[in-house]
Amino acid sequence: MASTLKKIILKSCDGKILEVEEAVAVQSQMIKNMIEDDCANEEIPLPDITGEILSMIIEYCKMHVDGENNSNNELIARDADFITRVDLNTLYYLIVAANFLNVKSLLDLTCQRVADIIKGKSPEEIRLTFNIKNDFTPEEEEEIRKKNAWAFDYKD
Amino acid sequence: MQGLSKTGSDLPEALVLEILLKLPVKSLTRFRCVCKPWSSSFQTPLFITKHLQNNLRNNNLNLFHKGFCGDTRDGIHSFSQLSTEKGQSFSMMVVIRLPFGTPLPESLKYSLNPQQRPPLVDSTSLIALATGSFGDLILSFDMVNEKFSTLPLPQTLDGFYSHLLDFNGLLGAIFYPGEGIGKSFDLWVMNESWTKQFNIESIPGVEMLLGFWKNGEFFIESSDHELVLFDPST
Repeated sequence: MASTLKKIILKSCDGKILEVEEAVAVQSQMIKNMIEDDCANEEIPLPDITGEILSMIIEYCKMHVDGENNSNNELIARDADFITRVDLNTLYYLIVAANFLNVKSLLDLTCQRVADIIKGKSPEEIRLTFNIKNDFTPEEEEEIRKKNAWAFDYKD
Repeated sequence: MQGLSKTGSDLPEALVLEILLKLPVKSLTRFRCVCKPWSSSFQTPLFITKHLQNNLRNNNLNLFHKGFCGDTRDGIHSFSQLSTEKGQSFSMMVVIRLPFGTPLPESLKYSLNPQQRPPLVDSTSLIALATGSFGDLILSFDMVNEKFSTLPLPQTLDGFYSHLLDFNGLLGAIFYPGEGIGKSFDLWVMNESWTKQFNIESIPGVEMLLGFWKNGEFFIESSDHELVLFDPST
């Protein structure tokens, strides 16, 4: 019992302190490793994660710990409910933070959500979304489009 | 405009790839003209393999379509991928080029049988049936080290055809007679050594056993060349 009640203290880059139950915190492989190495007794500073993003990640991890006994379908529905509330800007920060904290299921969920958002977009929109410069000549681009015409028959 | 790029910091490349790995083949093909680095990353064996695994995990159907082109002597130059998302019909094809331009060492001068099914791909290697002066054998190409190795077939029977497939993550080999209306299929599975897994008695109208899906279901090609998903438990 004692171990599940142990609290881990996380500090966001904007100075917000969050106390998290160990069972929730170890959803992050990074924090789990720190606990195993006995490095988690004092507050853990997270230099690139804001309090807002950290709260969302903890909410997600808590949902998965509380939902351990739920059916798979129920968890999928909760995941979907959680992720559809998030806009693309926030997804960016969530992906970076989930990657840093190494929460594999959240990284999968956020990346899948972005993929679902962008899958129907045009190459032009994709360049804007990812801030990518088009390095094809118009002729080269035209050739790819011609060879793969079936892929350009789509609805957003 | 909302985006995945913040002032001074774009999303790291590895994370962008994580997102792209989750896209359907149709989107990936369209996004080949976003920029050159994207176009070339979609064609690396590692990306293709990871993408396939992702799709399988998410229950999207993603089959390596039969047929590859190229000079049969030096191996495959490319093969096609047929893909569909849940509930959609088969419509998409993308040709993936493989690093098979590398000439085979003399001792491994096997040619891939053009009538054969496409090669199997797992996380690190590509496996295909090959025929050569030493008889039939299985040729595998390690994509990490770019090395070839061989494996004998469990049996060779005259008048029988064979092809390779993935059986729950293990290498499987199917043997079936070349002639006859009701075909029967023997499945051998490689788990350190070859063992005969089971025999499927003749199912009328079956042209070819294509591959296994989840829960023991498998795909068959019917004699009128339609793709059928067959569940042996029902």
